[in-house]
Amino acid sequence: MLFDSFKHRVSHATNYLILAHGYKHGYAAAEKRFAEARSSAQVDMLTYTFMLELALGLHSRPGRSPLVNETGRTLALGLWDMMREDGLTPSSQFCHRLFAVYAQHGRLEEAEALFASMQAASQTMRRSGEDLAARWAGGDLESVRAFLATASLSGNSMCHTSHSYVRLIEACVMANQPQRAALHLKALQEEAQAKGIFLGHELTTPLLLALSRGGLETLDLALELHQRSFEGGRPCAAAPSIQLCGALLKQRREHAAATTLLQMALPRRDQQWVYSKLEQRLAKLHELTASSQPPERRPELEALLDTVCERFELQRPAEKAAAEQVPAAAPAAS
Amino acid sequence: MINMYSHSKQRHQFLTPAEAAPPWEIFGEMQNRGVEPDDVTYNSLISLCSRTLKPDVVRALSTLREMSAVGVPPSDVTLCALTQSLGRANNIELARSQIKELLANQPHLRPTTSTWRPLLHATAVSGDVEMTQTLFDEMKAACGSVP
Repeated sequence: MLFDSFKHRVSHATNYLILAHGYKHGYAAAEKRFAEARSSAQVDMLTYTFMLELALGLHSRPGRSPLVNETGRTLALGLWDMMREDGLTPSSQFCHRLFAVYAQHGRLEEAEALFASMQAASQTMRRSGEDLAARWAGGDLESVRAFLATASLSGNSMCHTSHSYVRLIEACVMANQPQRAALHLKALQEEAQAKGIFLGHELTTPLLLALSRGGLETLDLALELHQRSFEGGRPCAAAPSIQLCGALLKQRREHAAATTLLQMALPRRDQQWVYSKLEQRLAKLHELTASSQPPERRPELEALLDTVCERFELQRPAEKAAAEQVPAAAPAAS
Repeated sequence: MINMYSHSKQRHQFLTPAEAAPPWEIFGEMQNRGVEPDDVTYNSLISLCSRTLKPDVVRALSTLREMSAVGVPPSDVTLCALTQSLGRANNIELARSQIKELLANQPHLRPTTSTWRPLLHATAVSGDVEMTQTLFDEMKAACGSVP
């Protein structure tokens, strides 16, 4: 048993050679080594993870762009089929990457089916955990040993997490399916509520970033999420709020954009980039208010913008422009 | 320290210098109160050096020296923690020399493949096939060969 585990660990490290060949010589070189490893049954979850990394990374724009070309997507889906043939259970991270692949391939329903199987794996794991706890509490160690020897715990790695919802919602936005995004967001909120969990920054930040990149409908979802977080006493972080504000401004929704700034978390004083962005958004808001709002609506919006300026201790654009003109005018006056 | 790691992992995986400071303060306080550090303490601190935004290689190496100076023998866990720092810093040659030195001076050490994994990953993602192969061969020589 010990020898087998040792053998596995060493073969596990050969995966790094496949990865190195892929990055150095391209996907075909890695694929050749992968086929050799597969024919000698030396592939595991890590092999497929690396191959997926190469398939997606070498067929997309440099950086961390989620957009993969058709070749990359076909390779990724081929790997997924091979993995199932080999009887391997994917990790949740592997599934998350497939969501985006399916979404870009126009097969969102398959991403949703994969997510459903992740939820089923979670339920199985929970049941197994409760069963094991009951046996352990009963003090029957033989029963615990028998359970561990027979129970299939291999599905644990593909259990769904809150991040799975985030990635699925991102995939829905990518596939331009706002209704599906709304459905999964609601499911996430319901599951979190049932478990007594409040959605914190680690979830609201990626969700807002994804939803504010979509169209009008997903923008409404983002706005609702932002407001809900504010009302729950955990306002959203600065970066996603500012992005949401920018997206709302593009849609000429000045009131909602100003409210977003009022409902975001207060940034630290040393986060200069946040204050710089806030000034830009405020300047745009003032400009749009003066140019495009009907006269009867202007006072209300101006009052809202004054509150925003006070909240962040920022000068109003007019005051700022006046202050900048004074030093230039001073020498001429003297 | 463990709570600090898990919190960091949930948020953004790596610690800022401000977040990494409290464990070192606790370590200082332990010493002030006469609590003797053991291998777990040192391993945690060396591992902490790899968890910061910029891996703190200098501190990891000085902690390793301190460990030897106070007579706490390094273990395979120490080796893994050290290579995590050096691998993330892409300092492969230094890592190889440290592994070689430790294995030569500490005959009781039983290295595992986990020691080489951060280094293999660092060289693989750089596309350095030759170095990945060299590290793989060194790992096989130290841990055993694939049957």
